[in-house]
Amino acid sequence: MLYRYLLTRLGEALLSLWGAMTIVFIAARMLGDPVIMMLPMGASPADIELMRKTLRLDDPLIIQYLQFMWNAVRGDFGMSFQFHRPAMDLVLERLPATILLAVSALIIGIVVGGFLGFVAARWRGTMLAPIATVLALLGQATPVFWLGIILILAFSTSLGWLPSGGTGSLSHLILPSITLATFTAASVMRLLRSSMIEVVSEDFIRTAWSKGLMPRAVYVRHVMRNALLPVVTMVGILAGELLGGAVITETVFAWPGIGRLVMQGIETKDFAVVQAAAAAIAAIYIFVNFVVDLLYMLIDPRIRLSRTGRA
Amino acid sequence: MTDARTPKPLLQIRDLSVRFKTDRGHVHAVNGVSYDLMPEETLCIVGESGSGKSVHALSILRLLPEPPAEITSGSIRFDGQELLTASRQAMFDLRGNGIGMVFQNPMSSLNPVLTIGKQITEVLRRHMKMDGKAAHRRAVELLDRVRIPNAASRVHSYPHEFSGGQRQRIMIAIAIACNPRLLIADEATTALDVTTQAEIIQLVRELKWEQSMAVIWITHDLGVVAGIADTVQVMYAGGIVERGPVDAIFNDPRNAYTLGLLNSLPDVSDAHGARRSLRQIDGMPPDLHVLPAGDPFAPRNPYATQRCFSEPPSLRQAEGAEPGHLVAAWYDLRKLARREGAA
Amino acid sequence: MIATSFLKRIQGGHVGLLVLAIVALLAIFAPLVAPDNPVRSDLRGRLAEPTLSLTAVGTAPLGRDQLGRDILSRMIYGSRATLLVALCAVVVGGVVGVTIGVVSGFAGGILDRILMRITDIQLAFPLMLLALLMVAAMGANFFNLIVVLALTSWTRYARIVRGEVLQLREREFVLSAVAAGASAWRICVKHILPNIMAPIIVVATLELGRVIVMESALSFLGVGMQPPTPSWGRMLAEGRSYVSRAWWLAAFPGLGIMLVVLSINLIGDWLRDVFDPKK
Repeated sequence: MLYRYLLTRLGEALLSLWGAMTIVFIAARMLGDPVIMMLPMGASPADIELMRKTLRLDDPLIIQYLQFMWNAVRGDFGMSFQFHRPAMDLVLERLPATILLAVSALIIGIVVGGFLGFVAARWRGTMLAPIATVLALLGQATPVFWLGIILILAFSTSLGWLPSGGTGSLSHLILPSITLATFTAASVMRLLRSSMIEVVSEDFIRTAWSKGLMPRAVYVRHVMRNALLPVVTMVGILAGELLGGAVITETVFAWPGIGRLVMQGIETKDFAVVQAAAAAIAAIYIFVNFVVDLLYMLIDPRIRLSRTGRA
Repeated sequence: MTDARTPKPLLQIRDLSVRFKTDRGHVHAVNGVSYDLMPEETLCIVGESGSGKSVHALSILRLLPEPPAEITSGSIRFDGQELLTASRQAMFDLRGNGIGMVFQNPMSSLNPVLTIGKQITEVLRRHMKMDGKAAHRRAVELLDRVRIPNAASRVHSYPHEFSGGQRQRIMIAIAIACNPRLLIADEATTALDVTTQAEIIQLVRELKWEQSMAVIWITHDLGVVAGIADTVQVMYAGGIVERGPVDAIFNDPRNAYTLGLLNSLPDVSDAHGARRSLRQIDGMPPDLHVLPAGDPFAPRNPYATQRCFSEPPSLRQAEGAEPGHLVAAWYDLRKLARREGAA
Repeated sequence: MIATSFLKRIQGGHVGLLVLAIVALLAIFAPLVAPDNPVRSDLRGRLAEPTLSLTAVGTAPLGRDQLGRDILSRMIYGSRATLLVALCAVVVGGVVGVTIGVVSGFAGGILDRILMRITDIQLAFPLMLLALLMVAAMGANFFNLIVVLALTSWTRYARIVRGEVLQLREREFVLSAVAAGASAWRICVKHILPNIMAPIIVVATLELGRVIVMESALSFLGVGMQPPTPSWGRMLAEGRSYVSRAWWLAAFPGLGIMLVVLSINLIGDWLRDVFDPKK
């Protein structure tokens, strides 16, 4: 049954979410003693004790954990010490910016990477292929933070064409998304290329040629349809890397997203913020992977039919 | 004066040679193959792996990757058209249209992510300029003809939902969809079990009569040959060693290799009712990197003469045999061997 | 003629090996090779421009940073820490990952499912974020960095190794060893391990590159190696504020990272081709 498979996957996703929340909890608790950060210098031990009691920080860890999970399910991650607002509100405020950046980077990366990968595989013997391959190799080796700085240096400082940080207009989006998209494009390009090369040597492609189909039909309908499958799977992983890389890119470009929020939280030991932002990022990642899994099931008839038990 | 015109050959191959470039030099896969195929003739080409039978068939449709393959000489005329110098577009128009091909492995020869209906209609739309509806109808008809049950609903199914035998029938449906004049089947039943094999052979026989097709059937299995051939052509090391009407080849083989193949057919018992052990041809096929000086089969040939080792024999009409029975041998097998248990 | 045929046979992997070897040698022999003391600050020479010459005395080929420290020397010394941490992380991560993968694949059953569940749960968390949180939580010293980086690494080995082991388990030589009564430990070490070395090596190589980038990223964000240890990531972070005045502070360390990672990736790809059964 299709539904049974869906339910299983959903269950797995929820399990992963639980695991992620646990990791977040542990890490946040280990960041340091938040009470010290919150109270002004010179607070007396009595004040500290009182604060602890109020925040229920003297409860046994397991109680705190359960409290945390219970609150988290209801969307309550506590108050930010820095901003004096519920942490979740801050996260929700910043979330659209991160999503905008991630989606832009993903689209650019897939389009550019897909194009280069197709070119490198289709015109394999010619001059075009090695150029595309070299570009991909460079793209994968370039650290995101360095690329961001260099791009700022080139387009912002020297040429003054684009702003170096902050947000507000389309031109603010260009540099950060290109920075993030580079690694994505490189990964997509390499995967698509190797996938296409593998598919091209399959028997059913020979059948396609023997039917007298024109090259365009063979490459699009037969090669690409099959070669894109592993790429779809990778999109999920890419989404995760984008979310992870968002922390860095947002820092470099002062982009007000949840990545930057996490950094700020870590720096100030504001663990409510860290918890909320980290949990949000993890949840999005799990969700994206879940969706990609479903997508894959839709486009590969073999999986669809085997999973649903139809012979 | 009769009205009968001398029929013109459908396919004329002259002196075809194909080699492959490898790290260690060139592999001479096909060496100077020449023959004619008449319209509606069923030719079975027999040989071991490496005999060049598949390679030469792929050359007809220019389906070999060219590098590393290279057609070094020869001519292939189909229906009057020279294929080796034809334009790319001409070849695209010929494949699936004038000539259809079925390959060996049904499990991997169909695109797994397209419905079988699409895989049939695409060839109809490509060559017959049919619109969607007409193509779909024709696809269902074809599936029905190749005996896929519930064709109308199964046309929307995917390849992995079918058995090997069914997939091969779908492949046949695709290959004959545009009424080709020639169907090439390259080891089409090798991967199937014996019962399914027989069904496929029967199907092809029927289709051949219905569509007035010529068939080239490549196989290493003499049992298949007996089931379908008009003419048999035995190949070894890239060349034809014997060729003739099927009865002549089976009853009056003139080449030692052919004899070896026939002898290796398992018989449960011989004419005297005693069990016979499986007989094999000794030795290994030659390494095709180096063309031997004489008959390539000579080293394994118990009847080889001196001349066999030094001069390659040419394919000529066999002495005292039916017209059209050609053999490449310096020895006279009739004098040297007696086929045991011959009919 | 010899030269051109030689040139034709050079592959990316060879170039990568060469470059990596050079970098490794520079790192090992840093005290002998570096032109200057990496932590010595010379405020008079602050933000000196790169001269790009190795012979001119007293000048810095790649420039000086905001405290007058020689960038080239800092880079050479910095590579030591980075390479050492990365290597250790890859080894630790590899050992853990391979062990789990072999156990999971070979034992099967409940153990396999639990281990794979754990792997899935960890993989459901974005790597960078995980590393960030862990390092921030545990404190950024050498040892912790290795642990955290290994933590982000092991899952890759576990998955692939498990897949290979599942296939190998059904092969004749393993089945006959089992039938002969060999202990599980022995089978794993003598029969299974040698046959999975190839993919392990490929993964390890690519992981090395990834870990180096991650370590630099963490240093860049301030939670990696702490001063005064020179680290390429840190140098980038510090150089960021000077990017308009002194681009060389940030440019060269980044270039260095890129070069090293590129070499490693080339080697990894080459190894993957070498071990590919289809070739």
